[in-house]
This record gives sequence, structure tokens and C-alpha cells, in this order.
Amino acid sequence: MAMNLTRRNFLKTASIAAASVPLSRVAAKAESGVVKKPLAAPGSFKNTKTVVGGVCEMCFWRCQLVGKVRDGRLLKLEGNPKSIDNGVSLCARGNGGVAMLYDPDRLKYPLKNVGKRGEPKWERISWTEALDICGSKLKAIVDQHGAKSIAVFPHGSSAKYPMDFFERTVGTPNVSEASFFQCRGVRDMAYITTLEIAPDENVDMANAKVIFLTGSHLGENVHVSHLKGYLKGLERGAKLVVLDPRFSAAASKADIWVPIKPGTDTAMLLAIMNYLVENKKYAVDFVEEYGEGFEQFAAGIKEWTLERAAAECEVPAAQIKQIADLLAANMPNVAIHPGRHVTWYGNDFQRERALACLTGLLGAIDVKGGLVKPIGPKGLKGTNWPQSEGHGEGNLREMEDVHHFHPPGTPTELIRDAAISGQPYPIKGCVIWGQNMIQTLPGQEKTIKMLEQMDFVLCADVMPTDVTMYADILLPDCSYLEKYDYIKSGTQWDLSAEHQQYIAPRMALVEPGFERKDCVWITNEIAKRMGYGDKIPVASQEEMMAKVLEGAGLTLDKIREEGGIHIQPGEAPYGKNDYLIVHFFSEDLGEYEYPAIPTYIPVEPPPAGYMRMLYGRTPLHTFNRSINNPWLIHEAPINPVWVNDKVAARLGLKNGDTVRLVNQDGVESRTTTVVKVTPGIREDSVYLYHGYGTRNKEMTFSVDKGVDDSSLITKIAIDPETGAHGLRNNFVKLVKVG
Amino acid sequence: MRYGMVIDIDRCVGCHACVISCKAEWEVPTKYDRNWVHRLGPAQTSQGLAYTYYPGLCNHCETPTCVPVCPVEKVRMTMQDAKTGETKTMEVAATWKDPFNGTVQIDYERCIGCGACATACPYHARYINTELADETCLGKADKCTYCMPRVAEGLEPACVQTCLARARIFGDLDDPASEISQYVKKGAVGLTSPAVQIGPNGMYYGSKKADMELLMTTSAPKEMPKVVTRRAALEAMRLTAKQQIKEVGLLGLAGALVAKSLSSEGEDSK
Amino acid sequence: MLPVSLVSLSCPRSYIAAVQNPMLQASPSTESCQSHQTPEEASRLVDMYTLLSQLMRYPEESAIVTAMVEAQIELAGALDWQREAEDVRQWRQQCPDLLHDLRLEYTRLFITAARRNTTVPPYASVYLDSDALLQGRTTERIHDFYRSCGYELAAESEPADHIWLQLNFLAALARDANFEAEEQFLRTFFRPWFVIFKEKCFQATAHPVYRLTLILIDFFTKEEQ
Repeated sequence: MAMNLTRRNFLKTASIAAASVPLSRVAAKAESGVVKKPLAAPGSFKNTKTVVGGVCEMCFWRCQLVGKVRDGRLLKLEGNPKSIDNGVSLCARGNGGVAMLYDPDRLKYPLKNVGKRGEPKWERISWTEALDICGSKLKAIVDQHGAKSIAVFPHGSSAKYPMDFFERTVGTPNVSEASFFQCRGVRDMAYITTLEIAPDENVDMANAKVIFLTGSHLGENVHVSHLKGYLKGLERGAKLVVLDPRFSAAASKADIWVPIKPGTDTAMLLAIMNYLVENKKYAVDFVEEYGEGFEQFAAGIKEWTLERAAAECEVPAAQIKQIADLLAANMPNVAIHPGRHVTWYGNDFQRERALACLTGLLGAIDVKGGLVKPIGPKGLKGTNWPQSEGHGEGNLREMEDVHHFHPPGTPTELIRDAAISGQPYPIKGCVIWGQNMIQTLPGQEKTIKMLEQMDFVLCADVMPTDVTMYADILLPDCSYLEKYDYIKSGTQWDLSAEHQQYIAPRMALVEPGFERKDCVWITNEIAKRMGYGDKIPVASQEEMMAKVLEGAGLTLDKIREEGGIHIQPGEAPYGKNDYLIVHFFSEDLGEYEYPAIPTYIPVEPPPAGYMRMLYGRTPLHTFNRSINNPWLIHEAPINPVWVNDKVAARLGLKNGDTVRLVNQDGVESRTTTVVKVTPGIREDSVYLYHGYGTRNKEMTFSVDKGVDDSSLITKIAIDPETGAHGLRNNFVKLVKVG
Repeated sequence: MRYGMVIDIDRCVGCHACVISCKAEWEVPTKYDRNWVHRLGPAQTSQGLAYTYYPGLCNHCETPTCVPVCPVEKVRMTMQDAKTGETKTMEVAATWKDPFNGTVQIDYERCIGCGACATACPYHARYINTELADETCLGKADKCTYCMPRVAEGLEPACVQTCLARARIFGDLDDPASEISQYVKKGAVGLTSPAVQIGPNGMYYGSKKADMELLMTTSAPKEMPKVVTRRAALEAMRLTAKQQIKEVGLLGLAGALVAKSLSSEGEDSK
Repeated sequence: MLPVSLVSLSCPRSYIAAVQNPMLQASPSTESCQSHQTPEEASRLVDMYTLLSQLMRYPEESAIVTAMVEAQIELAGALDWQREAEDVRQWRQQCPDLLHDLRLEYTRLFITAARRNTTVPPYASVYLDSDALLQGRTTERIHDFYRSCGYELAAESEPADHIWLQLNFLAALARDANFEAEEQFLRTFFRPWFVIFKEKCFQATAHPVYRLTLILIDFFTKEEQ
């Protein structure tokens, strides 16, 4: 490099003949626009535009939002004041949406992997090229092996439209939603089998006299309006009973905390029910009128005396009796919470059946405080891809004749096994939309094997999660702040308050930026290239929304004018269920040779020297989904492992010690975390927040922080009735590091 | 008017929304906190097992220790009561307690970022934003302002608005009918201890004895921080002299120091 | 000095378009510290900035890439940076597909993210705002500065503080002979983050085209005595 050469000299002396570059001639404004560094913090409430119509998706509760926007830049998110659901409140993650929106690590452009699956070398390509590849590759797989050769792993509202395309129109049965097979599917199916309704979390806690939680750690698990109901119930004097091996956020507010032995909840539920039946402390008339198979049920649970359950659950018999008496004294206005994430041990269908039966036994359906389905607005109709002839052909579950009480889709393990073995047929195409299977599924090695044998892997996501490292084509999805795709509807959260209904369509608060595209556009473009162009139900996301709202006589513009949420008068929900039924003894289950009454199936105890690995939520994160958010990571950077203080003393572990986790199969955690010593957990268990230990270096704020608990779930448990997983059957040792 | 805030820890579920909403509202850099939530326990107390939360923020104390240690030359400032229009003129350094609403505020223009106030606070409610350092200052002190600019527009403080549990009760402690006054009657207390009694207007209420015990034993400051006024100011002068100082309150600093040392020797030992 | 011909780098759209205001006239500031610059020198500066801004864009077309690389080599030669010019020449000779190769490197360096010390997002806010997010306060201030000089982003989906937009803006200022604003922009907004960005890029890439681009940007934007 020549020394002493300055730009000035260079420009003076160089004879550079250059064609001029066309730049529009500009007229300079009169002011020179000196920008001073502002010293006062601005505040989002001034000099901003309030944009309405946001519907959150940091988690899946979907609170209603407004955005404070300055010059196209989102500064803050707030609850929509028109909301009768979350109101003006948002949780930490909802507030943190701004940092997600502007995360520099977010996917921006379509990418092609020109390296190896798992060790990607990304090249940005055009949408045309990306879609051409997706269309032609997927079409080739369908042509060669049939629609069934495509496995779909969806999650979130973005994933519904593409999932429906592949499942209904292309016709593959191999769809595995994590929210069913690794979360709430067991609950829904068990309640449907018992009460013929899916319960969601529709317990009227705000008006209950007793709130009964099995494992639900409300408070660490944050769903805004759900917590409002819970807290209102407590404020109104509800007694809170919590079954949990850990002194959770809910346990800390409880009147009765039961530090129950993990895996034994069903035994306790059966003992409570047996006690109530034997002492005629149940809703006799209700059961007489609406119960089916009650005598067989009562006979079948007779063996569950208080003493037997006390021994099994390591809970004093007197406490079980106390709880049973409390429920009886307050029935039917008791909220037996169905839970949400219930895929614990692989015997969870039985526990959920027991909860549903207990609800029926107490007559706690359709009454204040009980299981009550709110009456939401009518008229919103779906618009969907047409079902093609022969759709669903090649259903693995049917072929193996298992899991007869499965939630929608095909049990994940069947798909994985078929893909890896190639039997009974090959599964060669993989469409992953918003689901990070590396952290949703147990047995990470199996997931990787499945992906590696695919002919083509398509991922669409907002963040470069761990699973995106296995994509051949990686597409940048719009976040919930940048699209139109979901209509949240419901009622006011306190069912005894003024009855109102709301309809809140998700509307974009800001432009997507970069080349992010919405799921309707992407799916339609792929559909065209696969030869299904004539089957497309809607041309755009706005059209999709318009079609759904039409049935309720509404439009997006009208709702926008109303402040983003349409409110209309509602209906009192109590006593409205015109078809109450409680299958205490289920003939359907018996027919397929599953236990016909709720049955206790014990779980394997931890081997000597190991503790059961329990996981759950932190209010700062929605598992791996939000983990890269710098605002949230600052509040909860790591997932400390909770260890009982006596155990810690024996192991020589102190608060803050750095440890690795090793499981019963010798699998070691790739990263480390710190110990949290506390008396608030049983000696046989440890606890971590799920979602940490990101592997993908592209998530720069969160990579390698904390431990990925799912990497230690190598022993696979399957719930027989549903085919869902059980994820708390692995055991760990803590190994001190450094 | 005396603004205060009560945190109802029966209602609080420890969701941390208050912290994030404050950061968003005031564009506070992530690494700093105008408010915070500490998760306490589960731990044994004399009343049993407890697991609760310490949502903290500036207490806008009755006798704040931060205000008197500011070394910046005092100027006359006229405050006006938002409601009555009444005015009052005071001599203030770069931080003061508002005579009308009781809140403690900072003048970011004149603050030199020396850090004396941050050190003086037993609650660690202040921080110095060093990203705002330039030729005239080491940074700017910052803290919770009880969202006075929002309140002036009829809005709630950002943390109060976002709290899904309605666990943050903000209002006028001088108004016996206000919700916050009911909490005081119910027994809400500030985080004080024998050595730290500076009259916090931020208070805590919980009906569970175990929770309140855990909160008080872990989070009430046990001792007053040591602040050396003169040293802090001299430190600031030394550092800023490395850059070019034009004309700032610092020029008056020497004079102010002289005045101070003549009148109050004892200040240095605080 | 060898004549350097810069092929007309026609942008299909003007990414930083003019704000139409026929009432006002552009005029070089008489107080400009570079007021001794002749129109020819100013015009050369426009070309330099334009070339550099194009080099910092995602490579879209083969023809443009070929032209840019050629211009880069000749420019380096004119500056007597023989080694750097030779590195690029060698790469050009040995590389079977220039466009594909540059796209791979550009994607790796500037689009996807990697471990902290090789992440070099090309946005000022990531370096000047401690939260390291996009669309930060710095983005707002830079966008305002564009406006104060009479420029607005035209149909742009990248944040306003992308380095290529900043360089494009500097080209526009040079074309207006608005050297006072140019120096102010460089001092307040460009140099503080570019110095960090440049270092990280050097650690992150061995690619001769991007290394040379960075040195060129540095040369044309650094403070001169």
C-alpha cells in the first residue's frame, strides 16, 4: 500500500474516466439537520402512532396488542385497551416482542444449504429459486413414493395453512404437531373419552371455591387472562391445592401443597375418588343422571384406600383425606384443572381420565367454578384447502393398529421409525414449519437420523433454531407482528362478570422487512409448483382473514376502526351444556383393550445415585422459541438446576456451582449450568427450565447458554392410548465442573 | 401530593413484565435496570417454606441519600405543581426531590455521571449510563422516575399498566381515600432496617408471614453505603479534565466544594 | 496513472431517491472543509462511493459482479496496492463461478449469524446501540440525517443504517458537493461503527474481494489530517 497517499491527493491526481452513476438530482432542504444526542429518555407515549390489531404469539395464549410506532420503528408493545381478555397488560414475553422483531439473528432471506445437513453453508437465493426447488423436490417425492412420503412438523399459527395443504390436498397422513403429541393431546383425548368435550383450560377459577392443580405451575407458566382468573379466584377466597414435587410458584400461594412423588398422581386421584364414593361425599344426583358405568368404576377403584395411596405417593393419608373433604365440602364449585402440558410419563392418559372423572364425580361441570366452556362469538367460519381423494392413504397408525385414541395427526414415533427404517414405506420429504424438533422431541439422535435420510428438507421459521441446521431450503417466515393469519375470539376472562364476546383478528403492526413472506403466499407458490394451483382456497392472507370474518359480518377495516377488537354482547355460560355425560367406565376404551376405568400404572424409579429430571417453564421464556431474545435472556440467562438442599449437602454441591448433567444412558449434557440449592424440591428430583442450551451458533444471544434438557431425554416413553410421548422418565446425575 | 407505590406480593406472580415494559417505555439499555425483579427462595423461614419476589425500583424516599451528595453546582430552579399551578423556587444540584409530588428526579443535562448518587443509594436503584459519556460527562445517572411524564398525560406508570396481577398500586400517599393509603393502613411496609431508615415511599404488602419474612431478610438493605462526596467529585474532575471541558457546572465545582467544606465537614464520612 | 474505467453501475431503482422539492437548489457549501475540490474530483468521489456501496450489496447479477471486481482491481492498482489487487486477480482466475462464490461469502459474513466473534451484521445500530438490535436509536438518527439532507429511502426493506445505504447516501452528498454534511455524517455516524465493523470483518474473512472492499472503504472515509 502506498504510504502518505490521502483520499484528497488520490482524487486530485488520479485520472479516472468514469461514467457517471445515475442518482436522482436532489434538492437539499434549507435546514442542515444537525442531530444532537438526546439526553432525556423519550417515552413511547409521545410522538408515536398507536397501531392496533396485534395478536401476540410469543406464546400461544394470544393476547391482544397495540404497537407504539415511530417512523415505522416499533418502540413498545402494550395490551390493547379494548381487550376484555388481557386488557392493557402483557407479560414479560409480550413486552419483549420488540426485541424479537429486531433481533439481528432472525431469518431474513431465503437460504439454500450448499454444505452438509447439520453443518450448513448458507447461500442467500431468490424466492423464485427457493420456491422452484421446494416445489420440484416435493413433487418428485410425491410422484415417486406417494403423498405419504412427506412428513410435516408444524407449530404456531403460521403453520396451519401449509399443514392443511399438505395434509388435506397433497394428502399425507404423516403430520405431527408438537402441541398434540408432546403437550396437550393426551389431555384432550382423555377428556373427550370421558366427558365428550375437549377441556382446553376452561376451569372457572375466578369463581371457584377450590382450585385443584396437578403440576400446573401457574405463575411460572404465564398466560395472562388465565392468571387473571386464577388470581381473582384466590382474591375471592378460593382454597388452592397444588400437587407438585416442587414448591412451584403455584405451590407458594397454596393452602395445601402436596410434595407428591413424581409419577404417582393418578394413585392419589383414585384414592380421593374412592374415598368420596365410599363416604357418599360426591354429587350423587349428578352422577346418577349423567354418569355411565359408575358402578363398574366404583368397584374398580375400591383397592385405592387412603393408606395405599399414601404409601405409593409418599403423602400422609390424612392429607389426602383433607383434600377430598375440602373438595366435597365445596362441590360442585371446584376447579379441577385439566393441565396443559401433560406428556409426563407415558401413562398420562390415565391421569387425565382420572381428573375428568373426578370433575364429573363432583358435578363440577357447567357450574360456577367448574369446567365451563365459555360461549364465544358465532359465525366465524374456516376456509380451507380441499380434501383430495385418497388423502390420508398410508396411515401408519392404522396400519399398526395402535394408539386408537390419538389426537389429530400421526404419532411422532411412528413417523420417525418409518423414516429411519424405510418400512412400511419410505418417508423422504420433510416440511418443518415453526417447530424445533431438536428440542420438542425426545431422542435427538433419532430426529437427526430421520432428517439425514430425507431426500429433501424444507424449514420455514422466524429464528434459526437448532433444527434449521438440517434444512436444504430455509425460508424466512413473518413474525406475528408482521402478518395477518389468526383470529382470536372469546369472552371476558371472569365468567361471572358482564357477558361479552370479542373477535380480534391478527393484523400486521409493521412491515416485514428484508424478504420475509407470509405463510399463505409461500404455501400458494409451492402449491402451484407442485401442480395444485387450482386447489388454492385463498390468494392472500388478507383474503383468508376476510373470508373467515365474513361469516360474522365483519371486515378487517371495520375492526381496525373499532380499535382492533370487535366487542359484542355475550351469553352467560353456566348451565348451557345441553349434553352432559360422564363415562366413568368407558366401553370404547374397553373395546380396544385399554383400561376401561382410570388405572394407576407405576413408573420406573430412578436408579441409585440418580434423580428424576423434571422440567417446566420460566415466565421469561416460551421454551426455545423466545430464547434468543436479548431482553428476556438478560432477565433469565441460564436455567439453574434445582436440587434439594439435603441432597446438595451430600453431593458436596453449593449454590452457584457449575455442573454438567449425565443421564442413565451415559449421555452427557453438551453444556453446563449452575446449581440452585433449595428445600423446595423433593430429594428424588431435579428441575430445570426447558428451552435452553441452544446448539445453533446462529442464535448468538443464546447459543450454549444453560443446558438443553431435551438432549438428556434418551429413554423414550409412549402413552399407549394416544401415541404421545412421556418426557419425565429420564434420570440424571450432576457432575461438578471446574 | 406524595407519590408512592405498593407491591402486593400476594398478587404478584413474578412474571417480570414490569421490568421489560419499563425498558421498552424508556429505551433503557438492556444491561441497565430502572426496576428489577429478584426471585426469592424457595427457602425456609421461621414461618415455613416461602417462594416470593422482590420487584424493586427507586423508592423516592422522604430523606433520600442520593440528593445531597450530588456535587454539581446548584442552580435556581422553579418547580410548578401540575394540579394547582403553584410555584416554588429552589436551589438544586443535578438531582432533587420535587416539593409538590415527592418524586426524586434527575437533570440529565447537568449530570456529570460521577456516580456519587448511585453509590449513596442503599437500594442500588440508580445506575450510571456510561453510553452517554462525552466530553462533558462520564455518563448520566438514571433511575425510575415514577413515569412522571406519563402521569402528566393521565397515564399510569408503565410497570403499573402492564402488571397482569394488578399488584403494583401507585398513587398519592397523602390522600387517605386512595387505594395506596388503604394498603398502608393494612400494614404495607418499606424495606427498612435499623441502620437504613430513609423513608421509602415504595412499600410491600403480603398476607403470608413467610413471604414477608423472606422479602425483608433478603432484600431490606442492612447498612448505609459509604459515600465520600469530595472524593467522588474530585475523581470526576480528574477524569473529565482528560477531555476538553468547556464550561459546565464543574467550573463552579471548586467554589461549591469550598462552600460545602466550610459548612459541613461531616458529610464526607457518610 | 492508468485510466480506470468504471462501467456504469446502473441501479434499476434509485435506492436512496430524491425528495422532490423544486423550490430549493442544491449548492455546494462555501464553508465546506473540502471546498477546494473541483467538480472533477467531486465526480470521482461519487464514483468511488457508488462502487463501494455496490460492493457491500448482496451480489445479484453476474455482469455487475464482473464489472465491480474489475473496477476494484483497477482502483487498487491506481492506489498502488499491488498485493491486494493481485489477491483479487488470483481469486478471479481460479474461481469457477464468481457470483456464486461471492454470494456464499456475503451470506456467511453479512446475512446469517454465526458465533459472536464472526458475526458482522452490516448495520450501525448493532455496534453503536448497546442492545445490538436492528432498528435501534442509531437507525432512527441516521434516517433522520438522510432526510435532513433531502434524501429518503425508496422502497427499501433493509434498515436505513445498512452500510450499503450509508455509502449510497455519501455518494449522493458528494454529487451535491455537500461536503460539510459528508464530513459530519462520517464523523458522527459512519466512522464510529465502521472501525469496529472493519476489524471484525478482517477477523472473519479471508476473501480478497471483501478484504479489499473494506480497505477501500476505510481509505475513502477515514479522517484525514
